[in-house]
Amino acid sequence: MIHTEVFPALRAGVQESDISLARSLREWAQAELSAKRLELKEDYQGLLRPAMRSLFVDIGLQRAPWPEELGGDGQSSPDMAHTLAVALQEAGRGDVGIAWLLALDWAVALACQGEGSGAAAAAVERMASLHCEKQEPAVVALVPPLLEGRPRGRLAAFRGKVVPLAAPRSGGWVLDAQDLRPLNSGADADLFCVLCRTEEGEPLLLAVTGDAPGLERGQPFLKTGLAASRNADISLHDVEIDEGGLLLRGESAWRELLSWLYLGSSAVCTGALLAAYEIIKEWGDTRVIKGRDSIFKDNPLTASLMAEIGATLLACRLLTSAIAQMLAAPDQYGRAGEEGVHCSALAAWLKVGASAGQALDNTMELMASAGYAKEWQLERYWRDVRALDVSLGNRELARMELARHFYGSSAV
Amino acid sequence: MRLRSIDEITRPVEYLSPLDEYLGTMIRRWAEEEVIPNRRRYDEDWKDHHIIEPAFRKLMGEMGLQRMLFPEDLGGWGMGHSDYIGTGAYRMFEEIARADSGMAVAFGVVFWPLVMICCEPHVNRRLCEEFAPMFCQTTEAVFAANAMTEPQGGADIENMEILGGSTIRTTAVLDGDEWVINGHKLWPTNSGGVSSLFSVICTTDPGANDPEAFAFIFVPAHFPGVTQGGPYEKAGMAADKNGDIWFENVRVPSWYRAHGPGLDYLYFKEVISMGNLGSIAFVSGALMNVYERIYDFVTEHRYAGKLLREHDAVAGALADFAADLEVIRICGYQYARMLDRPDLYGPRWSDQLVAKGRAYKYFACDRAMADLARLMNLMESYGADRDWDIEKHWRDLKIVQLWMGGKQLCQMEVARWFFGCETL
Repeated sequence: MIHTEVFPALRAGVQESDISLARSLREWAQAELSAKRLELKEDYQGLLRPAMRSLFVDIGLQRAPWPEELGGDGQSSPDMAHTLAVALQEAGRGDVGIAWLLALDWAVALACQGEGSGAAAAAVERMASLHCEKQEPAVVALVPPLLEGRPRGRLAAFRGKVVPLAAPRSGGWVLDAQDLRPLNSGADADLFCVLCRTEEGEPLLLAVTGDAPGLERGQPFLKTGLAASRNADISLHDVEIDEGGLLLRGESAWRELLSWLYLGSSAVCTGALLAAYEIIKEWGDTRVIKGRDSIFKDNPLTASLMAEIGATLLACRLLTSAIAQMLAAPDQYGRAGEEGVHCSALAAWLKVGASAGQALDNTMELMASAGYAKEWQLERYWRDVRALDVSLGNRELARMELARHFYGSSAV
Repeated sequence: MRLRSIDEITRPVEYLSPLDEYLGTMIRRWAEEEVIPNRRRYDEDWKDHHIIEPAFRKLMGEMGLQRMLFPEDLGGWGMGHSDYIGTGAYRMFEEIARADSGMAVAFGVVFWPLVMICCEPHVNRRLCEEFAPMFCQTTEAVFAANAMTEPQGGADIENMEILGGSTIRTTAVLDGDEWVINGHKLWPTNSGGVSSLFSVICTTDPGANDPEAFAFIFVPAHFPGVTQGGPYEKAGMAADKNGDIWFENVRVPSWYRAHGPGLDYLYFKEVISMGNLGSIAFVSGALMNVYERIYDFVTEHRYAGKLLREHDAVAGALADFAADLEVIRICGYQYARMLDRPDLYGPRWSDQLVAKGRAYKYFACDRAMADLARLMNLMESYGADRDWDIEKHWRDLKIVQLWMGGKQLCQMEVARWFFGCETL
């Protein structure tokens, strides 16, 4: 694979099995997506769902982070950070939406099995069962804290936003909140992981099954991209969750989930840049401009912008692999849920997300109308990365967290 | 209650067109009634225009705006003879783009070819008489397109300063009193089966870097030898269809050439100026609607107990957007007035006005794309949601940045004029 030579990432900790997996995923992307794209475009049932089935079930990536004794591949140790970074780049190169669903799924899996997650043993078993026994993609949706305004019902404040209040009932909890927007897959999810807060102020991540009594899904809404994630708002009408639905407890556990998600999202966006690089490389190699046998890539003005795109890709790959290295080595850097590591992952994501969006903007600019047409495939990555970027939250607000960490600021 | 209205976004009111209020009010009402309630379904209507077409019919055919440039005695509104074609057009484009910039460009491009023959001081009366009935004697929407881009070189055709039309492969050969046209064009706005009339950029001497070989020839779409492909599927701008057009031994009368050797080349630069004007108007119009929508969002959502707009860091981003919108709109109207007053600023086809139009256009587009990405991010997962309209404007405006040679050609023309570059 040429990109590993031209755009090297940090190799420490990356196993031969990760490289082999990356090759398999490149073949998966070619067979399941590239070969059918022009005909099926973003058809969920015709293209994306079968490709998800192939990736999640046949190749088996949805089993990867679950314990072997529960039917998984047992990769749940921090070492999986490298596998995650490598695999999600290749998957993202194939389809940003599918890769992101996997990133979300793995983030939940790794966090809830992390040390001190507070997860109930039964919750891990249920999750493992969903992922290891099902012969269909296990679609897990995350319901994060939301801006106050649209959500209604019994809500509680959490870090300036609102989450459902987890009221105690019969040894478990009950949630009653409406118009919640999941990050993904509201229309299709088998399981919703809902961040809540107890009356005492403790954050919990609770699992609400897709068929839970009282769960109501809204109509799927139209959006910019990420077609593999058919999203819809959900409402929870007195939904009861037993103790076995507890996936995470406490700030640190929630931060750990986010750290994994930032790493996964960085890897997915970097994968989109790999695809963009391949597209603009072909364009630059073959496009003649000025009618004088002048090849596009040889024009200094366009070469300069192409170089910038390449530099962004390299920086994103290096940053992603560096964060993977940190998450893989808690003994050296601290656990993923610790503030310092979490802020590093957040900072890396803010850089990668913004840089990837800008690089895709520039790539489309170079290809002009061709970049805008679906035929050349680029515009899909452009839309998908923007949609992913906005889903992970308001950059201005996220910077407050970094300001607190870097400078001891009290800004919120 | 809204604290500010979009009409408080600055434009130089001292030189607006006499029709500004009338046209602006009429189009805004049309937009509110015919477009804004339906526009969220436009993307899925990209191929058939079942939802889009009735709104065009109302605006162009029934309200009659497609007649605008033609002389009054031919059934038109006579704007081609006025000294407010720039500011008048800007207001119309801006109001339409506020609702849908794809509709604005489809509307604007109707006039792109007609500028060559309807505007002073280069009116071609015979061609006006020939084509006026097509536009002025119907209540159906009638479209025109400027067939310029070719497969092999994209924007090379617009890079006239250096290439002088030498890359044009669509040929026009005079055979008796007819031009015989052969070639392949792609991407014009209002292609994909929409247009009734094309202007076709041809060469009478393939390979020659000679202004006299540059020909601007009108071709009715129904003439034998004209074949249109279906519309392309794109990231946005569903109301603007684009496709391939093939001209195979198409014969048109010799007087369908706009002006003749040298003059076609000269006045075509005015087409570029008007294209830049329209592009800026599409940007400022769409951004005015973005202002309305983001205003709603930051007023309806709260963070840490305060309205989102009251958060200092968020307010900083909102201020940056407002500042850009102010500057882009002022700049756009200023350019419009420069085109209105050749006595003060020189002819619309001058290298100066082309270069300055390019500068304003790419400034507006660059700022718009950066602002829209930032605003979408402020909205978190609602930013990608079509119900908030901002993602639509983000997708739609991207092609305004890309077309007419994209940023790179703009940069070259600006550098040539301001720095005297001769070899770019």
